[in-house]
Amino acid sequence: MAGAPSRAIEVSAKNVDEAVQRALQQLGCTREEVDVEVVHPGSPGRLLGFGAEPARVRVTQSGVSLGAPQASQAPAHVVDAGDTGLPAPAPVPGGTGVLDREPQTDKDESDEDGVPRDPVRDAELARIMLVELLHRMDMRDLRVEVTSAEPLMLNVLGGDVADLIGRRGENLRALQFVLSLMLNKQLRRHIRITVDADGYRSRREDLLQGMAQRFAQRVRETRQPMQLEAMPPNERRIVHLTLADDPDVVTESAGEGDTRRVVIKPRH
Amino acid sequence: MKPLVEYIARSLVDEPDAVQVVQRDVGRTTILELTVAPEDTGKVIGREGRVAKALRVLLRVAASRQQRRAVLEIA
Repeated sequence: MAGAPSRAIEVSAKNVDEAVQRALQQLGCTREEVDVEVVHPGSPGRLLGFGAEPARVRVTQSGVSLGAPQASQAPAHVVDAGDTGLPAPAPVPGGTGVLDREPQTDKDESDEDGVPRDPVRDAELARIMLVELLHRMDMRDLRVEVTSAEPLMLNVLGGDVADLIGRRGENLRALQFVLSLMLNKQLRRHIRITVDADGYRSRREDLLQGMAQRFAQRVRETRQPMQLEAMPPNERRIVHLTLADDPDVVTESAGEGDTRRVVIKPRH
Repeated sequence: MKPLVEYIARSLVDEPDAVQVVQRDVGRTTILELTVAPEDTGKVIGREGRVAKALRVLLRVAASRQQRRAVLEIA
């Protein structure tokens, strides 16, 4: 965005939070007045901190200031807080998404290839990345909150949420997919992430459960199979799960791609 | 729109420095040409084009904010 002059600095520190804090001090801004790009998430290293890598962030003062106007308007410059050129993150061995870890491995300090687990830090990293994405999509009146660190769930709140959700949640799904790839690339391991907007997904879940029950009731009465409307995989899953324990009906999916839909049938 | 594509592409590839986006505006349409290192092409296209498809969806959202259309070409 053109407009007020912006300043950008890069700062390294032990972790992302600390780096952001330092950058904010140096710029004399609040968190709301800057864009944060995580250059490197950092890692605490192995035993005794051996192999530790500092986190590095690039913080840019946004043109639009939400608070009081800034006193100084220095040109963009780079501040380096005690770090000498980080090595690029190692490429993921063996490609994507295959390391589907048990979600409940408690306190795993030495994840073989990825950055060691720290759900709260990972959630904050994901949140910052999502804020960055939204800024670049010109969606500026939005906030992102971490609803849950494990499983990782983010919720976007604000004025333009409808555009973000899109037809049947199409835009939201794309956003979640892209963010999850970006995050897994950064962390070098696979974690599942849910991106919601103004509680759309949770409302949709309630709606689908209600709909599944009503359709199941009809199938019970008529003893005829019924097709639901076409749905994306996550929504079909909700329907299947809702009726999984129903003694009278069974569910299956039929069709391909965008027209794949759940069919509810009498069990006998 | 160009910063959006750059940001996402750089986050997904092994060689962020090789990411290039050229933007051309033709009437109400913005054409974005994304170039990445040859070994990274798969990462921005994805299996069955899923990454490219998601990128186009996000780009459409961004473009519609400015009453524009966007076309993403992956070279």
